[in-house]
Amino acid sequence: MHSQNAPLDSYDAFYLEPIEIKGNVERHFSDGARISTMIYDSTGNSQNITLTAKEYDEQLFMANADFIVTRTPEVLIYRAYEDLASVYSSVKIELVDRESGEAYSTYSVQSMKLVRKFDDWYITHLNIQNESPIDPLPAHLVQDKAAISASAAVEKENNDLATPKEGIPFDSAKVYHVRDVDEPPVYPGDVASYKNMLDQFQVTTIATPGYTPFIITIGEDGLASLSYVHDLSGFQISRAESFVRSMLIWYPGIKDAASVKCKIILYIHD
Amino acid sequence: MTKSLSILIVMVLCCRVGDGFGQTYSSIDDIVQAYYKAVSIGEKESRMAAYEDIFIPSGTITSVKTSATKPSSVKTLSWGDLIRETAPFYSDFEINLIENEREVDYYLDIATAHTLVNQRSLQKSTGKTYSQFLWIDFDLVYFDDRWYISAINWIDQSSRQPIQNALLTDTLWHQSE
Repeated sequence: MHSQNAPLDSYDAFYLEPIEIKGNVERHFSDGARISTMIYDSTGNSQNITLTAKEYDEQLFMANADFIVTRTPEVLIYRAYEDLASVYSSVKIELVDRESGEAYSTYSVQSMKLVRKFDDWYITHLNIQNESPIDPLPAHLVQDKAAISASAAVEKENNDLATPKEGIPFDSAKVYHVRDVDEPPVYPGDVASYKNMLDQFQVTTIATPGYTPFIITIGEDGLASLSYVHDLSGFQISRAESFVRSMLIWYPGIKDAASVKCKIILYIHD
Repeated sequence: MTKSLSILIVMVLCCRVGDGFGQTYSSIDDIVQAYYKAVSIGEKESRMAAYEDIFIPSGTITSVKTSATKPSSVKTLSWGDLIRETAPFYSDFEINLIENEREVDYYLDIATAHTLVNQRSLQKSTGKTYSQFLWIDFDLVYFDDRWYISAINWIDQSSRQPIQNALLTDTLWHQSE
């Protein structure tokens, strides 16, 4: 039974759904939902094809007859407000020919909208753009490609990637997790003053019962900002805003000798 | 004189053909602004023509109306059905959308424009103006040298949190588990 209580749970469930049973994909969509896909004719002109959830389900079901299909979401930009959520992501699609065993992989950008109905989240619209060979997805939108970029010296450089991206050790627009940077952001002053500030606003750095997670971003300039508060109540949001406003300027995170944006997950008392 | 007139007529016709309502919709801003304009058209048939000009035929509009006491009401309609369903509302009110903020996610021929909008509804009988804030999310597709709207999804501001929270983003390396 379809039962997902958060937008990203439904998002995950949709991409992990086995497609060999008819209806498995369709049940993730709400009534009236549409799937809009950009395709290209032989001259490269774009065309738009729109499917109902049932038609899309059937299309994936038919693809399953010839291929083992795996769909893996890679990177996403997530926005949500109350009962509407928007997820913009790159999705890696792997196809393994059931007869020959030959494997193909491609990427697409997928813009998914979800709505909450009866406590579950359903897809109300899905816009799909397949990767164009003449305009590949930028590395920061594709996890595998980012890894390739970061290790440009390895043999991948000589493979069939037509123009390997070199010299892109970091992306200034990307918000890094603290574990992915060389030096995480550091709050100025002694540990005690940082701890006092956390206590004052009832914030902790580790998951604790009775506390709700939120995310702050430390910019390359060391300024802190709130970047994810969707699980917080209005009261918690205003407390989190005061908490961030009271911060001094951080020493920013460092990656490849450059300051980068970094996100930190914190927890605030309910 | 006749020749000049003929050239003028041809030029005028050329400008109109493919330009819809005088717009080329070659930019995301064109198509978003055209939607705001279409929403404000009071006369039903003109509004229908304006929507037809900016939406793909199978385009949809999903509305999420929040409530302080009940679950949100969610409804997806084709743009044609929406125009038919909202006709009584338009006979009572004049609508205006004023955009306050916009963010765009974009790759090749698809884009998503996230906008925060103030919707003002003027009640014709009383002259009273009602205001509400919305997050309007445009799913856009580009073909035939122009942008079209494939879907609009909107939600109104709830009493629980400011609508500005809709534009707070989180970028994640994400693997489904």
